[in-house]
Amino acid sequence: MAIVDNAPTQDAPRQPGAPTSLHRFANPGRFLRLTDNWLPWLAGAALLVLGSGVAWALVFAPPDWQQGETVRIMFVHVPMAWLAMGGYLGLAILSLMSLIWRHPLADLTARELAPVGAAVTALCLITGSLWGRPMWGTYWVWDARLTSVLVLFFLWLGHVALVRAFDDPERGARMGAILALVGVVNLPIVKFSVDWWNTLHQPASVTRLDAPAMHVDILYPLLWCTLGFSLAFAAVVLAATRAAVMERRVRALQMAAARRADVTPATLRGARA
Amino acid sequence: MNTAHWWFIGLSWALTLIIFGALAVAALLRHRNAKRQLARLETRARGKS
Repeated sequence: MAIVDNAPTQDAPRQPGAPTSLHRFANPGRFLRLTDNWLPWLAGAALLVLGSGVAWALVFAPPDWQQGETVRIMFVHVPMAWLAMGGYLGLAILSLMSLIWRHPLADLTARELAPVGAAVTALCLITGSLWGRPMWGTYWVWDARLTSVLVLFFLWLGHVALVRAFDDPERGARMGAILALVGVVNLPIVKFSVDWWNTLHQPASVTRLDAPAMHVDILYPLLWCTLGFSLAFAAVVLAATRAAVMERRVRALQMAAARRADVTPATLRGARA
Repeated sequence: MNTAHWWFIGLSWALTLIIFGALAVAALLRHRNAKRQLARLETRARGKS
């Protein structure tokens, strides 16, 4: 899947069975052109929303009647938890696209998404522990929710390590995709662990079939911070993926230059003889 | 106020913003370097052809 051997302006060859609309984005040149304008807007929007979100969460949001000021940790912990799970779902979709359609950009995006996903999952665990100490009296318990999120963190780390463990990047991407798809089974376990088992972690309070179980004074800044962190997450993954596409193109051009340099006059004389 | 745990709140927010900031700065620096290098190589390749 040498995605950068094509000139950036050319379309990638059509793969049998690949949907045309999706396949249009498989071309690295088109991807770079399309996303060139997105990145500054995405980064700017993330800064704007996060800047106001920090002020809203830390200054203007009222303390919770039960948790007091500690509720302010929720404004980072909950977005990290949603990003960890949503990001993993994204990784699984990319892996499916990679395995079924050999969508060349899917491999690269998955490769760049995994370290960011691992970081947000680690932040979810750390901020959860920092909330648990004052609220539960302990940093950690081996209950179903915490343990399944720890497993999710190991799945992210496993993906990061596996795709980089092979000399052949295509093989690494395939192994990573298989791991990501196998790991998807953990997502419903994370989500429903609080319903299926008796856990110290509280049940869902926002994503419920009926209305959220929190006051709008807490809910709105929480959703605003989630939007800000989601935009930042998308900007980081997009910048890393664009950088990875360009780095591959750079390597391809350097290889071509090295091949040209090999054709020295001595080599040409040898070929003539 | 026994419900105020600003040490934990500050640490949570600081860690999150520092790690997100580090990821963003690393990605943007990598992006800028790759863009610059690609522009240089493509100009050279175009000049040779």
